[in-house]
Amino acid sequence: MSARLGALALVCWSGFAHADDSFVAKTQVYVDNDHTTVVSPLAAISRDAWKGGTLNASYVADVVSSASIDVISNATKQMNDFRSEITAGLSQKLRMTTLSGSYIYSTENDYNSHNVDVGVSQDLFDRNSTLALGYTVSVNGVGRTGDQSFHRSLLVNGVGASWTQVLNKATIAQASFTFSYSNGYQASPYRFVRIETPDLSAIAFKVPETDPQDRFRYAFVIGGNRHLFSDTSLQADYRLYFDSWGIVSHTIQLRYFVTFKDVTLRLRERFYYQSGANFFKSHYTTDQPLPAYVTADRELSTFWSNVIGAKISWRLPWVHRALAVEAKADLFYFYYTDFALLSSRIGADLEAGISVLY
Amino acid sequence: MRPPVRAAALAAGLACLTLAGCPTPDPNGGLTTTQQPDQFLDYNQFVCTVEPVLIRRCSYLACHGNPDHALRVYSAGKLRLGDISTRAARDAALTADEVERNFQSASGVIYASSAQARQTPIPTQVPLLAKPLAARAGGSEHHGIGVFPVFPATSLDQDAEWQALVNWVGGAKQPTPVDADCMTVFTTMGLTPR
Repeated sequence: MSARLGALALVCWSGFAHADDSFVAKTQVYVDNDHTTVVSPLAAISRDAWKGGTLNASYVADVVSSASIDVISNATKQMNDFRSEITAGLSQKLRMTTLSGSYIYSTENDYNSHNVDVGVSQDLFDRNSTLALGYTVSVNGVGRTGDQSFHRSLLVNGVGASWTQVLNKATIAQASFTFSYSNGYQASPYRFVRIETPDLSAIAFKVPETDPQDRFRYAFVIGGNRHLFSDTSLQADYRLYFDSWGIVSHTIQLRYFVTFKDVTLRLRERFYYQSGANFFKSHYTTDQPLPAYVTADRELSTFWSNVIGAKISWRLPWVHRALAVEAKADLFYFYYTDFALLSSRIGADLEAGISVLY
Repeated sequence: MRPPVRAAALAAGLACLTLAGCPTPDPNGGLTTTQQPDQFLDYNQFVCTVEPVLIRRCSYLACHGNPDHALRVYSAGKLRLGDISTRAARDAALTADEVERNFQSASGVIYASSAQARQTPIPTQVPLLAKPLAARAGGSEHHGIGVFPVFPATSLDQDAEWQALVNWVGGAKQPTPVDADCMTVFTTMGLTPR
């Protein structure tokens, strides 16, 4: 879901993307102390195919191995999964207007997803302002491994709008808004929620996780990009999110770029806090009537997280005029204030790859 | 906050028109009862007709004889609640506490099933029925195991064990006293009907 909103944001930002032919190949590795590892090779290509027209395509795979608390608390020792995602998109620049669209298909053994994103951006006021609008729809099919009679669906519609303003030669600001509506199955078919004895000494029984079928999400972002000194810049943004399940979140992110000859370094800091969903409870007990919605999803609990990271891109013109190598390392820490099965999670998101931009 | 339902419904409708991909309603939109298990399912019927089936078909230690499993089945000789340091203790008859936990556990996995799905029954919406049902009979045949119908029965109508599950899942809490055969079960186990 967040990936879809991310894609929507990308559509909104697309008015800034400078069209260049490019090829990127990289591999991401995610590890955390909750016994989860994800390896994600990615390849992406973009080409200016005709005047003003750009085609792009990408493929990413996720190879997942997990024995997280989510997995082992439901009597499974370990799960392995493989997910494939292909993306195809195009954009067309028409003087002051850019039209864009993309299709994303992802599949794994218990989930498939079709996504369509369309967007339009319009440069205004001597290109000092850009208005971008986007729409996304996602049609998802949810299954359950080893259960051929389990079929659920989830439909997500989203719209977004952004306004970007050049304030002066060194400063750009942006404000954006996204809204999405999800309807369908949003729980996990694998998660069962513990109903405990009143003294919390034992699990009386477990019930299937149930989430509301409808979810309305809203997000506002304001940000700025300031060029500093000769070859550095600072990006900062704040995001306010809330939804109809009662979650309110705040995200602050800072990114600092510095370029020295052929090397660009990006430093990143991101802090996130969210309040839990209004139906989330740390413990459900037999002495209380069961609510209609019960969940054991830590992403619906109250938590905060912090990410610090660095990314380095190194152009290698003596090898090839367009070749660059890049490496990234993000370290993250999550603290769950009221999730009974896990209090914290620490891990890293590592990435290495090459890019050719010409 | 009051969500913009009309705008969202319009957007969803447009998407349906363009993609012909409207989702079917989710039958498990929420738990269908706030009651505790013994308030909407019959304990006595469970003890006499359902628990023996679960013990016979599902209680293996690598399967539902695992205490972390949502459907967790205590049984003599396998998963036990108390001390099992001796063979006699492991093989002893189930205690009232273990029977109660079996009853609660079996009830728990059908909490999200509607009364209509349980009474019709619609097995695919009732996990306790869907999971052990053979694929050729419309079930999940979970992990390649299609328990029902159990040989030599060739159809579900002929399978007394399946019918026991269907009757319990679809029935309401029954008044005591229990019939003579069921009373014998309780007496044998040293338990008291409710």
